[in-house]
Amino acid sequence: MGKLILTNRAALQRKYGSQMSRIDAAVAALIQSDSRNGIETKVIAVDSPQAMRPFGPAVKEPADQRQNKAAVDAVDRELDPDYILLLGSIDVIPHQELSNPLYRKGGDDDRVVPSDLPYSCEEGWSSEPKDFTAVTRVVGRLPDICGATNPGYLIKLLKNASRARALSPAVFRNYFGITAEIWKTSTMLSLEAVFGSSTDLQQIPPRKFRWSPTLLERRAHFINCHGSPSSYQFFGQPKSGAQQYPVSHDGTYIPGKITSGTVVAAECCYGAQLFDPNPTKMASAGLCNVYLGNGAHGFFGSSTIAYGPDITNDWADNICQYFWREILQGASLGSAVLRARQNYVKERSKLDPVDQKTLAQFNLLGDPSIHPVRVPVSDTAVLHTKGIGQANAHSLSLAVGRSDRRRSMALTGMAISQSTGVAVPTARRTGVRVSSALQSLARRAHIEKPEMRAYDIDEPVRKPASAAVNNKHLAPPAKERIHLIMGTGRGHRAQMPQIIAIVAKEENGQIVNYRTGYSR
Amino acid sequence: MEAEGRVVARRIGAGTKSEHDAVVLVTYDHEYKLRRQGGNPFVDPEMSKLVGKRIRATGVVDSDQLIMSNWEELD
Repeated sequence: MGKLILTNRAALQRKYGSQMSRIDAAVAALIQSDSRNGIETKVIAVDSPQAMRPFGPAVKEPADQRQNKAAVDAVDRELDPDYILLLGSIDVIPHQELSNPLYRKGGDDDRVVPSDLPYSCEEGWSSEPKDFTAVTRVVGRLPDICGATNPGYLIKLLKNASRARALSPAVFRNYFGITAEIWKTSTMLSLEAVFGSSTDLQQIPPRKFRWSPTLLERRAHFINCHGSPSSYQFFGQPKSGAQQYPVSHDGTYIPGKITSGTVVAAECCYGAQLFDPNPTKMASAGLCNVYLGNGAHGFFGSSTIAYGPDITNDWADNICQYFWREILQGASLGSAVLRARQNYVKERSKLDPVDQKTLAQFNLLGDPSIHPVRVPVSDTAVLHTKGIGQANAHSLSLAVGRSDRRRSMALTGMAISQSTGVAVPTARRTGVRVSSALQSLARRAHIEKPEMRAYDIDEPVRKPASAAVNNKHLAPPAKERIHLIMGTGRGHRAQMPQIIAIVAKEENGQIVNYRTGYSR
Repeated sequence: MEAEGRVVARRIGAGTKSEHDAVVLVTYDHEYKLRRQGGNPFVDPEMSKLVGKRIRATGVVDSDQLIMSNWEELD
């Protein structure tokens, strides 16, 4: 099956009442458009007992995360769709709230990590991010505005998705890249890795948020700035580390200035948070909503506080890079996210607590079947199809072998997970030698009052392999643990006291490597 | 919601991309980062003026932030 649109009709009805027919018409238009592109699309209301009868129990309470996860799993099992589109914001189909392995009062204050990652995995319901490392499904969300009563926004997003066409790679060559000045070096590395150049990077300060149309109209946007909960702005910070946060991007400024087909990766904390702007009478919805409402096709960002170092690349930098690389190679938005998540797990082999949060917190907002970038593909499908306009030739060609590609990606996701360990908190005492090494690391980083946490590695259970593989002699695994050191300190660059997080790996009673994240 | 307590300055978001010095309302059972509706969530001089004072604030809570629509100083 091609694409499944999953929604909660009762929840939509509650928001939009008698105007539901307008949404139905827009969904019907998307289904027609998909059909022209070689995608068979079906809508299923997860709250409808009748629609859900062939699959499993219907969702009775829209906010119930377990019921929603079970419904998505049940439908996916039966229909095995190439794409799953969640239609509506989190008050229609909720995010799955995963526990935050980094939660610390006064530090990382996110009690949970709202995520669509579990919908992308075969694993059953769980609140533990470590249970969702086998990423196998192509999932995206077309969100309306939380708390909205006018369906105009959602209809606009559906129309934008219906009209989406893959564009020439040349269109994405010039990027709009902005960074808090303090993270300039890290963002330059990201831009060079994705676009091959960082010369056009805009830094805030000294730049301000009133970006010229020539920059905003570019279709590739890469953002590495500060973000805040329930905010329609992003923020910069000077390289000195001074506590100054000038606005770097503003949801009230960009409407009408974004070009149709724009794709965004935002590393910012809360960059893709879906929130109701009404209770605080905000001047604008969140930037992710504003982008989509102004023609952007995809927004890849974080629901919560994100992590990354200042002069190298890690965590949020990596997953955003992986996403953009896949997009530029012609992947659909959803496939790009699936592969980005798989690459993220594969590149690590052991997921530390920061990795687990990063994997869970980045979500795709947008129709997952849209291919932003056109790449050369076989025209065999077009030759055998009658009455198809030239505009859809690329999409039809992509349709050939899509299910094989999905199957391959699903198997890859499971295989990666079966070779990846995850860090789980342990109460076991840390040895004297390692403890001393950790204290030394903390001292070297000038961390005051370091808080130490230790984690064992939960290794995957390997499935029986062929006799030849089973007979292969492998060295016994090292006894591994992960240590997290967090605390305040005075960094090598910042004038202000700052917080430093060090993730250190212990093997056979020795610290063998560590990664340092300076606070931003 | 409505909350009452003393306002202090504190570093929050430790070790994250959003770490910053913040103005925090300490109530008898909770702590909220204070933010003014329409104000900069990271640095807002209007919020800094409240440090050391007892206030009663009205607003909306999101992720331990109290986004204030109204407040009154109690001392």
